[in-house]
Amino acid sequence: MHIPDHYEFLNHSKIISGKCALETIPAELGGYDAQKPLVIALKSVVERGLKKKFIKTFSNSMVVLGGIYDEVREYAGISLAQDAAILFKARGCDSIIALGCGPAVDLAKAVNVLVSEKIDNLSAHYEGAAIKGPLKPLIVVTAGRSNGREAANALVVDNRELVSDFLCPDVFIIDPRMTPGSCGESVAESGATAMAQAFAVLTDRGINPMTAAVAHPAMSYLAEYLAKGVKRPKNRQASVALANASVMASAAYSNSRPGMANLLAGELAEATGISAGRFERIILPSVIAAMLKKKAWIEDDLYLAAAGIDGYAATPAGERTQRGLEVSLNIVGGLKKVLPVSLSEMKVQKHFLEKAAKAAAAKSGKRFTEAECASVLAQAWDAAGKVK
Amino acid sequence: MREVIGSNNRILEIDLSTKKFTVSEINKKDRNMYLGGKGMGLKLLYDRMEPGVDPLGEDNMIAFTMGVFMGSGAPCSGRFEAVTKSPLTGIMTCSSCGGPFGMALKTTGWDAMIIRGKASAPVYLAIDSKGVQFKPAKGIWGKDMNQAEAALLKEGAGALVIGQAGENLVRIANIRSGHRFVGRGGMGAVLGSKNVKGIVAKGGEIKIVPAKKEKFKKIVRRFNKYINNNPVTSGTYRSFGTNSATIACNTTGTIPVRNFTGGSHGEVHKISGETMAERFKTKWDTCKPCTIMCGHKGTIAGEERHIPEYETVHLLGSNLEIFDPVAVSDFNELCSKYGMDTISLGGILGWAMEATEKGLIKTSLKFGSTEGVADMIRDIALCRGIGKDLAQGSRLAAKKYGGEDFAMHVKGLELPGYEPRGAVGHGLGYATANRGGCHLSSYVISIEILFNMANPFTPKWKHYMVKFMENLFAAINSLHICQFTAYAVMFEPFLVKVSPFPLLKVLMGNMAPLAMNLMDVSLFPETWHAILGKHYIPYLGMLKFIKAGERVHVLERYMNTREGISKKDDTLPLRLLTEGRKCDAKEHTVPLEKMLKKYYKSRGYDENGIPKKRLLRRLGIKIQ
Amino acid sequence: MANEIAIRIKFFSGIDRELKLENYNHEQGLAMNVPAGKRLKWALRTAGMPAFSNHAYFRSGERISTRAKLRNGDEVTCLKPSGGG
Ligand code: SF4
Repeated sequence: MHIPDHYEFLNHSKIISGKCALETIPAELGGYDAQKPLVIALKSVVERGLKKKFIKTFSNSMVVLGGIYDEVREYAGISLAQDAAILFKARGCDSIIALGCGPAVDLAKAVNVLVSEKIDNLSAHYEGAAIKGPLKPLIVVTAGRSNGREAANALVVDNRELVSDFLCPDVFIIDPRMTPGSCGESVAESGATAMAQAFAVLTDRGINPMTAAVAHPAMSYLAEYLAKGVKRPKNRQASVALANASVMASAAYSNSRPGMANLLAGELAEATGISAGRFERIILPSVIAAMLKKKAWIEDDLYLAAAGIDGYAATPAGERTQRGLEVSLNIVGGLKKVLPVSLSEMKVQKHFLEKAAKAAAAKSGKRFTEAECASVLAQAWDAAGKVK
Repeated sequence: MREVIGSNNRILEIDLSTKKFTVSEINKKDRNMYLGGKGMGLKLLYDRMEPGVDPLGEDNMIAFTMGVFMGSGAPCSGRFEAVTKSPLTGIMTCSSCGGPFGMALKTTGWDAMIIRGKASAPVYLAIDSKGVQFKPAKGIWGKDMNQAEAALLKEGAGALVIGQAGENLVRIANIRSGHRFVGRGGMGAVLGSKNVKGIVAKGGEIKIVPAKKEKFKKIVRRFNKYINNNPVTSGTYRSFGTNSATIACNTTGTIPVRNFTGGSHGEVHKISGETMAERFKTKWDTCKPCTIMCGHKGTIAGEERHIPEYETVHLLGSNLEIFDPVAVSDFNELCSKYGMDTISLGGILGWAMEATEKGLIKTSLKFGSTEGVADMIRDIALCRGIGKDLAQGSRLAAKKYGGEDFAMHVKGLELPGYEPRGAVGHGLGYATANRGGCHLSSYVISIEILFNMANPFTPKWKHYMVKFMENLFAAINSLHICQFTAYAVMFEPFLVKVSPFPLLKVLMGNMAPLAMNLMDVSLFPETWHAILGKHYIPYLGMLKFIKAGERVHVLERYMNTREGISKKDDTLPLRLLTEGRKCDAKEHTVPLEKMLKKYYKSRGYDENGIPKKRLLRRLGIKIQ
Repeated sequence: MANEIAIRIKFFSGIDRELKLENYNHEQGLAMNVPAGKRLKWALRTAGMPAFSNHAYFRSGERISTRAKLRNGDEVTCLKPSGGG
């Protein structure tokens, strides 16, 4: 096996997945000498009745929930973080549980910085100050739509990113009572994000043994369960598999470089205010098509992860790259019925495309040219390669 | 002077890239369907402009459209419309203006003017009845609006100019004509992006005469009688201007205070219309012609200035917790000089003050303090320092620095000076207004608060009120006549006038469609008919008139949906949906979701807010 | 007197000028003592207002009619209808 000249990999989080995972929280907190967590919950998760289920699991434990801050919607802003931090202090909490993915986790990380560093806002950190030391224990209970950043050593609050190794959550709880999605669309969006991340890791020339090892099961779960999960969002087995895929893809991706689909989707999401997952679903097939056309070389890992060992073994070595791309295309294709397939269908304004291509190329560290990015977007425009 | 009966119907189409122009005609069908002003502007761009163009690029077009009423001598008819794709919101924006340019262009012989392309160097356009001259703007580029307008007026009867903000592509830049502005949506930046500093129209080349002179005279008499009898149009507007609503809104908790957290404030009387009238010895300074006369000027800080309008007073005053009318007037003057929309500017400054408080940005701005405000206004206009980011509008500034949850805009357009948690129907109007956070699209607060005809906190029938008012105002803005005339026309006719107020109120609360349709607005189409005459156009009855308004509104919505607008955009800033006002112990919020569903249904939109094909067909809108 | 209540009426929209109130101050309004149980109409008449129907009256942010019974400490705002802009 190839050993890179240099590589780094960070994944601090413990994953507890499966039946009764929620019931392990008191013990996990105990391990950190904590027993009064503040719960930061997504409003949508609360509205689906998951808060009640969650609270029930603490009935026989020594843990006292210090408070539940359930005002978190789509946007994670400092105002909410400040409110939650006030609650944290007022109730004498010693740890944080994020109930839900996406903004709930970003916000929980931000609150953790505020209370651990005893500060009122993040302005010093935005200006470059480092987070000084370990933060309070942070447990994430996965539920709802993922933004692909949960397992990363980063937070985004007020659209601004803070990166620090101390930001990685300590524990992920993936419990089948919490993971089922509210609808196929939200499952598909999370899936598209995980898919784009796993794909970026497995097709990156800078892939290392650890990123490959973590992205591999993510891709395998997506190959097997994404279509099923989208069709039956309440299916527990599929939802647990997809939640695992999200956490793993996020962990691997945070140690890797963004792919073209991630960069372009990020730019378009910023320009339009629509979630990146929707754009990733649209752009990834065009990226894959361009790679197929270019006969780009990639490691076999993609095919192995996506098709499994039997398919991999049955395919001649020279065809595995191509087959890996084709299988990936099929996985994304499974989202066709729930998410839009073209930028024109999403009514993205054409003048954004040029700017997105330019910005993505600039952020790619010369891995992609503006022309390549523009060509992929042109194909994604009507999903058939024609640009009107 | 040549006399024209009814309307010119000539369109001047200018291509700045090729420095050529063409002349086309408004056809009878379009005139009937889209009337003029706003409706015609939208229709002309719908036929000519692709969706998805860059608002600040060559492919964007800007149309200036006069109404049939302009030049006829109808009361309050000195208004024209500008239509373009907004750089602030990325969707269509329409803005009405009462400056002298409209009359000048119409009496030069043009009913509409469309500008496309981009000049290779700064120019101004000199318009006469034969066409346009492209003149180098060397001497006026870089000059403020006062200087630029004075220079252009040497060549014609009315001018449009942009200030430095427009030149610098500030997304809230406006266009000025006299003391009136094409205010909202950053139209000044569109002209700036095309290298156009100004436009001057010669004026006085033709005279508009109504087709049915005697009938027209009678109608005008009736119109003026309605206006002069109505306590709003003849009373408070005339005495104290638009700012006459300040105390009523403060009393009911519907003014913006501290970036839309307060609702009312004890010091607000210091900036009320009454106080300003007394303190600054105000006189009229109005659009021409006008019978209502809401515009005022007065002596402030030793000089004659235009008195700030209601919106300016609240966005640059109460919203920043500034209650010094001289300071508000100073800020207003700066905006008039550099060319920026005071509503959007106030929204941006409110956001910046809160963002500073929360540590997201570093500025010297502070609620309640005038310190640094004037400097920041200059920095925004000239794109200096953080002003460059604020010049992009609160939506983009919040995207960059955070604080999206307290950026008070809808679809990118900053909210005007009414707090919708105290008038929830008005909140629905903000969410559904085509150009974004706009009060003029439906202005339901007039029914809920100012005329006290409906409970301001209940969502009941608000969808209908919004829809009805949207249609009515779209039609009025297409005639084109001042929107304020609606109060006189709606409330003065016999049936409404003699109905006991409590009865009207009960009807409005429980059977809004009946109550609203009781209001006889046929004076508008009657005036239209008297100007154009039967020989030209079939009779435009009241129902057809309202339907034309509906068509205009739906066309604009449809154009916006082609730019990506859908239900996700028909929303309000989070603060209005989740937090109560400080002045409100009951912590009311806007129950938007409930109202929106009903609104879509009554409009004929699908559940995602997209006009259904059936609706477009019924209104005769060609599907593209 | 025990059966009197203290109220304050604030006039805007130029009503104070029409009533020719001397040294009237918008901030203070017009302080009045009225017999308990009287209605707003009575107080307005006492203040010299000849007609009321076109005006709007607010108490604690809520619109009231001239028939509303006055309470001790009431602050009533009296306005003409206005249009805003
Ligand atoms: S009422 Fe006011 S805004 Fe309307 S036309 Fe007259 S001066 Fe202009």
